[in-house]
Formats: sequence, C-alpha cells, structure tokens
Amino acid sequence: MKAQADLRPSATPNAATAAPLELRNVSRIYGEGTREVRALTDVSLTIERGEFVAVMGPSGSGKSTLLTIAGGLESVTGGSVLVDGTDLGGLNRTALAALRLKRIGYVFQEFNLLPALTAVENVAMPLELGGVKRREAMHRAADQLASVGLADRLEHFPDDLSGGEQQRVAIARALVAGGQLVLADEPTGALDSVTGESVMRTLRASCNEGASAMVVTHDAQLAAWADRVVFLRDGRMIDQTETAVSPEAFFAGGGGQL
Amino acid sequence: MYGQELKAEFEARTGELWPLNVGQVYTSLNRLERDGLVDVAEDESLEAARRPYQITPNGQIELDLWLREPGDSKAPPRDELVMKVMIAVSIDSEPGSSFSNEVVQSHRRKLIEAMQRFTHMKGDPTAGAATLMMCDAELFRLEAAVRWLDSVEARLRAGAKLNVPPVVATQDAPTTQGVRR
Repeated sequence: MKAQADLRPSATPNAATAAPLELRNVSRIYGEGTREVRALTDVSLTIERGEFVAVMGPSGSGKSTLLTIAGGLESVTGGSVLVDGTDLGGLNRTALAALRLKRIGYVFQEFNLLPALTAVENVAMPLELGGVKRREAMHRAADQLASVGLADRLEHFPDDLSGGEQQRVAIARALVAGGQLVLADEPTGALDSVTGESVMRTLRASCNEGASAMVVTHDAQLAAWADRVVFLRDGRMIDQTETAVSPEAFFAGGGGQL
Repeated sequence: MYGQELKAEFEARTGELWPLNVGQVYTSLNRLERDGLVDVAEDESLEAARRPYQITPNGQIELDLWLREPGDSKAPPRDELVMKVMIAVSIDSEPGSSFSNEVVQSHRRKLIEAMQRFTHMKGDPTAGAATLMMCDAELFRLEAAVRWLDSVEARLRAGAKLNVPPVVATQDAPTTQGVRR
C-alpha cells in the first residue's frame, strides 16, 4: 500500500502502479449555445492508493458531477478519467460496466441498501453480479462486514439496523469486490454527528488498509477526516489543503503540530 | 490538594487544552483563600508549594454556580477572523474583483487544516474521553467559523456589499477618499 511518489500521469495502464483514480483536465458541459452550462472546467486530480480525498463545495459547485464522472456513470466533454490507469473513454459499454462493478464502490447519503436482502446478502451482491459463486460471495461478504465491525449483524435486514450500521454495510459493499476505490456523496448527511463519526472512522480505517476514497461534501467536519481537501467553486478546483497527512502518519498518533 | 496537583488535574480534566503555569495557580488560590472559598493548612513553617488546600462549604456553593454560568456572553469577543474578512469585503469595491473571495478562501483553508489536525487527534485509537470531547469542542468552534465564511460567500454572490458610510469629516481631519481600493 505504498503510495507512489511519482505524480506524473503514467502513459501505460498498469494496475499495480497506476493511481486508483486520475482526472486529467476534465470538463463537462451540459446543453448547447445560450443554454450551455459548464458543470466542470479543467479539473485535474489524482488520488493515490491509500489516500482519502474530500471535495468540498456548495450546491451547484459541480461536486456531484465530479463524482459521477469519476465513477464512469457519466462521460466527460473534455479531458479524461483513468481508473487504475485505464482510460474510461476508451472502453465500450460492457467493459465500462465490468470495470465499475469490479473496481469502484459507491456510498450514498441514503445508504441505498436493498431492503429485502440481509446485510450479508447486500454486500455479496456485487460479487454475485460479477460472477462469483454464491458460497464464496457470502464468505467474502461476511469477512468484509467483519472488517467494518459488523460481524454480529450479518443476518439483519436493513430496517433492523441503525443508520450508522446501514452506512457501514454500504461501505463494506463498496469495498467487497476488491476494487478499493470508494466514491461517496455526503455519506454522513443523514446521520447525527457521533454516528456520522463512526462511519468516517470506518472509511478512514479502510483507506489506512490500502483503499482509496473520494468523498464529496459541504460538511467541514466530514471533510476534515480526509488526507487532502480540495475546494470546488463553479466547476473549478480553486484551492486545496496543504497538510497532506499520509495514512501511515494518521494512526501514528502525535498530533504534535498543534 | 497541592497547587501542583491542582494544575495537573485541571489539565487532565480539560483535555490538556489550557495549560496552566503554576504561578497562576497560586495567585488564584490566594484570591480564593482571601474570599473564603478555600482553606489552606495553617502550618506556616511550610513554604506555599508545600501547603495543601481544601475547598470550603462556601467554595462548594460558588463552584456549583460557576459550573452552571456560561461566563460573560454580553460583549462578543473580538474575533480577528471576522474583523479581517469584514475589512476585506469593505475595501473590495472594484466590480469583478475576486479579492474578498480570496480572503474568505484563505481563511477557510486554514480552518479546515486546523480541523484536520483535531480530527487526527480524535482518530488516534488511544485517545481518551477528555481528548475526544476537547477535539469535538474545537471542531464545532472551527466548523462554525467555516459556516460563517460560507454564508459570507453566499451573501457576496447574492450581491451584498458593505457600503461604508462616508466619515463625516471634521475640520482638519483627512477624509477617507483615496484610501479605498
């Protein structure tokens, strides 16, 4: 989980060394002519392995568009998006869907768990959709739930779980395929502050173990869990924090910079 | 309890956020003793640092009241951040200038960086309850400032301007003309 010091874009796709997510001069325009809306303008952002990046901006700043573009749910009108070194623009529909399923996990404000499935079934679903046999999928899902502290909630249905627990199930589901890139949109928006913190601790711990995350939010307390905070205004990246704290340094304790 | 012990206990109970110096502790103890809120051991042969203090019944009553009182909240504290942002907005009169927004963002970034440091302290698995609560207090305080900056930015976007009324010039005083950007 060593972060690559070389920040230059790699020309050849290589999942072992390429950044989990790289946005190169990404622009997105909706509509045409006088109706044209520039949702994103020339955004470049690289997320390294183990890195947790928060994108902060008010409503209408383009942060949700940035997230859907990073996840390949929407196409760019300029620039390119690379996931593990693979340019999403060069993929056909089937290949893109397969890559999304395997490499990218989503976490939304409203959890989006399937209410008719138990926690472990919810987490196993992306694996089964990806062709993993049910028995193996269930075992891997159970392990993933244990890693987010929910080993004793496997057979619970979403309605029987608290909001914080449901969101941790969603994080487990996002990570289970092994893609290790989590894209989250206001993941604690529906939770009280202490419960929201348990969700952020879970996400933080996952990044310390090698996952990568991009979280879009307007919430400063949520953003403060990130290694790096990027500020978005009117579709442009206008600033970012300087205190890049490595995941390794995070739990090394100290906090001696105060 | 001795002054040194009192200092250590205060710091431990408040998440080590407000370190005290021992001299300060003894000054306060002397004042409390004068007001009859603490007693000190009579033994004059011992130097001040060696004499144990004890709270009196009146001290207990006063302590209980003190804990429930928010302190002086009538006058707003002079807040340097608020002051600087308001000055920046007031001198940013050129149309299309991004000066105010740059000042707002500069403060926002520094506040978020401070919040990252307190969040790191909270993330330490060995952090005790006092540290967690102290970090929360600082995080809510810093977040409030970030939210204020967000509202300043939204008001500026909506066209808010700080129109500084012209200073009524007294006979010989220089006017503010020419000072504005």
